Amino acid sequence: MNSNFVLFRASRGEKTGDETFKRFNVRATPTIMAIGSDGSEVDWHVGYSPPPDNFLEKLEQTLKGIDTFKSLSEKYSKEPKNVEVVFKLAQKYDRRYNQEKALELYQEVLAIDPEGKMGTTDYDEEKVTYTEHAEFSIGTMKVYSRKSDPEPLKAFVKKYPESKMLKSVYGRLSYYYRARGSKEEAAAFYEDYTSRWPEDPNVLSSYVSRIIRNKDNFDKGIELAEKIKDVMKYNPEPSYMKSLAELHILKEDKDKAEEVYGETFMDRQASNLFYNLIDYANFWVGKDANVESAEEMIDLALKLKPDSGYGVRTAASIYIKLDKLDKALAVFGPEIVKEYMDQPSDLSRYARFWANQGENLESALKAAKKSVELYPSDGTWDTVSLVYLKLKKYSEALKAVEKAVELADEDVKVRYKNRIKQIKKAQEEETKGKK
Amino acid sequence: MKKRLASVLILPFILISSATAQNWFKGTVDEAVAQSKQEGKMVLLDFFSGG
Repeated sequence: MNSNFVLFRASRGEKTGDETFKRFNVRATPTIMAIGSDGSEVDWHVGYSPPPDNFLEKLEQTLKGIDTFKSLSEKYSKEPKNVEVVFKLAQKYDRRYNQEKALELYQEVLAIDPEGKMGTTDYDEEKVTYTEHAEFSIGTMKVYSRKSDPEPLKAFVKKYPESKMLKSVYGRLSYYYRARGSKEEAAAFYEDYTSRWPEDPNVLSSYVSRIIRNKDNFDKGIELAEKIKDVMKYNPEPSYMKSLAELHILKEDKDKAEEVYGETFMDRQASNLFYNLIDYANFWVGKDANVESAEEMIDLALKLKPDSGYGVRTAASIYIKLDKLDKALAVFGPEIVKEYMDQPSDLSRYARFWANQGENLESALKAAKKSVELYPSDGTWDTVSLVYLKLKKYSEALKAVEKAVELADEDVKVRYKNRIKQIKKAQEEETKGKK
Repeated sequence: MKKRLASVLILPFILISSATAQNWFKGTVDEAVAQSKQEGKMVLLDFFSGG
């Protein structure tokens, strides 16, 4: 990058950065702007959307002088009736919030090509005519302006009923009707909007917002909010459930509000988050990548459910993989096991966990012995055997597994016989090593 | 060109989000422009608010 450009970062909150924002009238980030060696503005790119290749392609074009602000301005001065040039230049101004100039140029597009026959441009992987896009852009500017005028976009809907931009147009009109227009106009708009995209939670939710604002027609709002819940397969966005609860509160039904957006709902959300965090951490630690974030997320999971056995075991195994034994012991070590010294299955699980890690074996042995004391079974004896095996105390390991064989049902005895083989093999290898 | 750019820039979000990934000019914009003139390059301004 340095071989192509002199790189300059303007950071908000720093003196030079703030001055640079002001000097170039930049209001949004990220914005990338190319400046010529004479100090003039060559081009700019506002916003960033993946994939990175698209961005690189834009920078390449800037380097080559293709469709830059500068090249388009020069072309425009020579070919003021070239609809493609006028449209692209309008977009450049539009993205720099120079609405006056953008509007003037978009209107020139309409004057040059009122029928939309002179070419197309891209919109969300679709092709639309320059004219149609210019009308959409004008409508967008008008509806988002301080006075917020929906009429150009309403006219757009009439003129282009099959437009590929229609959903975006309705989305912008929804911005207007969410807070403006009479109740009747808004209801007519939202009935139309929701009938066109009846399964889209964002669309349904926008109508709910207007109903809450109106403080009227709560049953309709509840019907819509319930539909969002159904559409989202019982895992709705909390913001949608908040709207549903708000409607029940407005209907003075606090119990119903709590039913849909109360403790149970949020517990489920927290639980989902807990498992998602664990999955995320396991995934990245397994890939040996993004491990700092994985560790942060597993820490967060433990804060959500510090008493979850699954959580602490998983966290401990992740910390061990990250070579942080102390941290593993802090969450699932000797201090923690004291809390369930009367629970044989938990003790046995603890002992097996550490035996399999080959760490913390003295504590594991203590837990395994306690589990046998509390509940002598083939399983608990096998745990004792496993810990002794890891401690390389083979005769004790054999004695323990023989107890397991004695207590086991016939169909599982083979498992312990395999353990015996494992112990004897380790014993032989050690003997050979000593010779 | 694409590969050359990619090899140095790697990813745009690195340019956008990491202060250490690139060799940023120290000084004012005017000084950066003066340097770009000497080197026959353009100045690329990264307007950033995440730092």
